[in-house]
Amino acid sequence: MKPEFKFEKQKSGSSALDVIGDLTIDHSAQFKDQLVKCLSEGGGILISLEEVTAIDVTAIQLLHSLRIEMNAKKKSFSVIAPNVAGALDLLTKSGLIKIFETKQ
Amino acid sequence: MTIDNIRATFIAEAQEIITDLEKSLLNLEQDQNNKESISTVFRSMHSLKGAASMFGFESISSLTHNLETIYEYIRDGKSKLSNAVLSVTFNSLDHLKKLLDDGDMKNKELKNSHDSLLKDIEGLLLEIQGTAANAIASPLAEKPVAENTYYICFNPVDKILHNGTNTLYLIEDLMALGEGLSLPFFQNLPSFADIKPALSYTGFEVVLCTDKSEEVIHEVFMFVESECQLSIHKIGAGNLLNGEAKQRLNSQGTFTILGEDKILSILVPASASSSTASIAAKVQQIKNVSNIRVSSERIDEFMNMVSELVTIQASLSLHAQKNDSPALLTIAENVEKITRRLRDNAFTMSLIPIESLVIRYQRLVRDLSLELNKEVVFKTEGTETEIDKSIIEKLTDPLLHLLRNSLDHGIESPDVRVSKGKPKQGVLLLRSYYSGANVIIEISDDGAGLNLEKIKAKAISKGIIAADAVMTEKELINLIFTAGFSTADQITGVSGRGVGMDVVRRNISDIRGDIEVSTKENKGTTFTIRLPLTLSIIDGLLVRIGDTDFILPLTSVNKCYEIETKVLEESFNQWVTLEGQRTPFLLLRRDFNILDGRPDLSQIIKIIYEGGHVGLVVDRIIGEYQAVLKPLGELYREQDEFSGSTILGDGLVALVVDPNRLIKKLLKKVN
Repeated sequence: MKPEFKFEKQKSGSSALDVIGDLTIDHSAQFKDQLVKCLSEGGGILISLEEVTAIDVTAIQLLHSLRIEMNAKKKSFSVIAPNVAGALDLLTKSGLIKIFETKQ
Repeated sequence: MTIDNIRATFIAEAQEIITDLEKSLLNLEQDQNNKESISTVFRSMHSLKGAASMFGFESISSLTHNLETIYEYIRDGKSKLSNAVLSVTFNSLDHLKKLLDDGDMKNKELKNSHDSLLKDIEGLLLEIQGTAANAIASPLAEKPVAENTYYICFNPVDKILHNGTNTLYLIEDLMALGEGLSLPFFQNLPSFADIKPALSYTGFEVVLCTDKSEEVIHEVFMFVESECQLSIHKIGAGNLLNGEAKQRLNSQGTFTILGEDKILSILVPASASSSTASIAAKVQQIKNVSNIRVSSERIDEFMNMVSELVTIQASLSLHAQKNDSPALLTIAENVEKITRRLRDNAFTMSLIPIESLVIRYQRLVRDLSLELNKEVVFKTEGTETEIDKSIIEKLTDPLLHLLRNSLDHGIESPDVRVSKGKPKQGVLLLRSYYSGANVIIEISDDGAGLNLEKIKAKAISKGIIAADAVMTEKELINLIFTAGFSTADQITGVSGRGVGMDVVRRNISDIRGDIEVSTKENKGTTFTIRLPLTLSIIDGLLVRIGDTDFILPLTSVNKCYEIETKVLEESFNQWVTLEGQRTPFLLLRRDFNILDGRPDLSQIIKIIYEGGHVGLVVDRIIGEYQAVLKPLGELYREQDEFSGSTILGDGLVALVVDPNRLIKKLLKKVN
């Protein structure tokens, strides 16, 4: 399922990005563009993957790399894990779910 | 990797799985309680289903899905294997082979048989599920199975995702094998600005406690083996991943690679690690053994390069000798030593066991004996004997023909056998072994044997021999290799069209082998095939006629004699007495029309030919020579007396003679 990206600039100055659909290699370039957009806003970033239906490592790598960058800039960054069974299960079994728990 | 390449990889791997599957099914036909074979069938179905689904072969995935479930029931002791299940599985196997060629089932007939098979499988599954629900737990299911803990490190190449692989599914499959913990790590992850979104930077270390074997764990990665670094090591017996250990390990949330030793020290802390040293030692032992999969094309390419190197090395040695430089000679000798070792190593890489051929024959014997209403047991001996893969490829059809012939003409029907006082069940034996630099393959049956009188009568009626021809037993037997010869009273679908045995001999001769037959009435027939170990390098005798060099295969050479050229030229009918034995000879200088440089003394090389000897006369024998065979090319395809050529150390080309064909051709000319 083609992903849908919902971007919103919050009153606090932070950027919020909701992703709905499949977040796999086919759309990883598009996802990076969306993250770049969030980053360019200059504030904190809140990403929700709650409605992500399928996932692979491409999305996780981008998020991890962005988290490192945001931490270096001392900006807030949080990601909400997928809530759809298939994607959540894959992340849990592979141990990548930890990326959503990491506080740096 | 293109989609076509990916599909080709899947097909190659699937063919391997199907071969294993077939072997296990044949075992199960002999022993329906063979637990190992049941597990193999289950695993094969599981692997095929998963991979087929991943690579878009939905038809294969749908077929194997319920079969996997059926064999899971049987493996877990909830149901018993029956002839009905075996029969459907055999049919499915044949169908799977067809699906590999036409996965989308464009052929309507294939689609119909697919649907009908699916129904049969579904019916069986329902029956099994019904039985299982009522069944009392079998002793097989109650038996505790030993668990082991494994360390698995899966580090894929960055482009792994490009062929449609989702590495997370592989980890999920791994976790399905038992209790596990995955520790992902990022390798060379660039800064956010530089990260390439379609590449993979993520690897996984997994600790898995399972009752499955290391082979089963390996199967999870079978389609990505060439696209990852993979280590699988048993790190201990039992479950090392108990509650506390798992928590300790899980708290290592650094996303960096920990390594096996660190993980082991977390799982087995110092106080409890009295056995850690021994475990670590075992781990080290296991680490030392590893296999990699290399495509046969790469091996061929490697062999070609080694062949080139052997030629260049011969050239280097020759130049070193000519230049008389001690330093250069030492270097040349060292290069020669290393080249020889490299050549021997490369050669062993291209050897594969004859067993790889035998599996498909087991199936053939089973199906054909059913078709012919004969009871036959197919036995094999020495199938671990290895031979060059290019020979194996060319051996398939000849062996197939011989087995078909033995089944059709050799082994009698059960009533005939009983009336002859033989056991009802006939025996077909395929035996292979090394004999010097050759591999021998024997196919023998305990059937009726060749009827020599019938062979003679048929040969006379077909005008192959004269009615009053006096022939030895061997000559009579050899008639079966004549084109168009068959003693079969009836032409069957199996054999008996008279096309076959001549082709068998020709095919075997093409790979520099020969075939002999021995037979005893009512005791049986044995076909003995003698083959070289390899086709790429030949041990030859380098000879010269005029200023042209030729190589004769050493395997055909019996003895060498020196004799006055004049005596040979003046001999009547081209016969000469060698050590009291009258021997026909061929003056190659005359036959090859080489007129210059006639020597006073010539060399006769006694060649083994059709059970006797023929002398080939050359000017000079240079000595033994290990020749790297090169094909002659399209222009020479009309001739067959030269099997190839080789480049000598001085850069000149020598033709490699096929003595049998050369003698046959020249004798025909003489007669």
